[in-house]
Amino acid sequence: MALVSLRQLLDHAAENGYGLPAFNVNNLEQIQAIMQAADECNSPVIMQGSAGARKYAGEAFLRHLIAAAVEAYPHIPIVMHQDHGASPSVCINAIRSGFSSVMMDGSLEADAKTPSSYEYNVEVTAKVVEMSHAVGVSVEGELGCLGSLESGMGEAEDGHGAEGKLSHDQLLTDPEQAADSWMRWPLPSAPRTVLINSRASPPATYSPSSASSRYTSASPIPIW
Amino acid sequence: MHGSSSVPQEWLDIIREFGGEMKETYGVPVEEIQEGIKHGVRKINIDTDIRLAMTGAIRRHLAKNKSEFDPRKFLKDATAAARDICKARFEAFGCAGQAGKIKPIMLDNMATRYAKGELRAVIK
Repeated sequence: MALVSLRQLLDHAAENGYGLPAFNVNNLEQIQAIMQAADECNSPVIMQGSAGARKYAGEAFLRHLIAAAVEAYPHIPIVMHQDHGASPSVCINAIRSGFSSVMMDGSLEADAKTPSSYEYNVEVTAKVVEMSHAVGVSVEGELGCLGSLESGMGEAEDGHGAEGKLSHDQLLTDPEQAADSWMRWPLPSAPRTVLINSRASPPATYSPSSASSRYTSASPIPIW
Repeated sequence: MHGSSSVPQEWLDIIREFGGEMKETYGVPVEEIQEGIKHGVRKINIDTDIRLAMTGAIRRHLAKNKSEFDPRKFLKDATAAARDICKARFEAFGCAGQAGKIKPIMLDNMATRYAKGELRAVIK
């Protein structure tokens, strides 16, 4: 079974009302653990590699570890997703490596530290959507920066994160921008996925008392 | 959902019991993620849980087997600990049992479908 696009798995998940864990992978043992678990309970798999993973293992090792998982478990659909790509060049390299899905996180500039403008974000993400869809690869975008709503501090997620203090405007997804970007990107997906953070209303799953202080204010937006 | 590890307190306890230093920290409870799934959350990013399980298993193994120097031995424990976490999440999120129901679409075919506009948004 070849790698499949994230879009295919997410469509199936949406149609059948379930969720999918996306596990970060860096080495052989993590990939074996995920695949053994998926094999035992007949689950599709999303594995994702961050900037930190590529730095640790190297692109070639990650590529071949995933290829080994696909070969060893031919009955399990596997997505290999790039987590928090900082620029179109990072994304195209991941696609060259065989990743079946990429994330273009244009909430930060290409240095993966400086909060960017909305216009910049829309522009680079549209570029990645165009080239990715041309080879059947799905794309995840990001509106709003990762960070803590409580402290306002930007937070690095494995090699990708804003430096310094951020305003709530920077940390949260603006629903109007979300709607606007949907009109401007060549977007494929119906808006079936809730925004995690919204200025209009608090997300159903957000709970300051129980959420990890590291990740209270993530603002992913699905494009696929 | 970004950063959606549940941070199992039992693994924090094991890490602490066998010499590790972990400050008080909490994740997103699995039940809250399940509530999110009911409202349309589909992709749940998990990294920390696997890190905690592997670290706890390795610390425990080495503490109990002080003469051990074969990495395969403690990595085997680490893999098993990570596997159990993954399996619990697959089952809790409802994706267990779904693999066999999916007929893979090759990326070339996805590209064609994107080009034809078959995958375009239907904004309601």
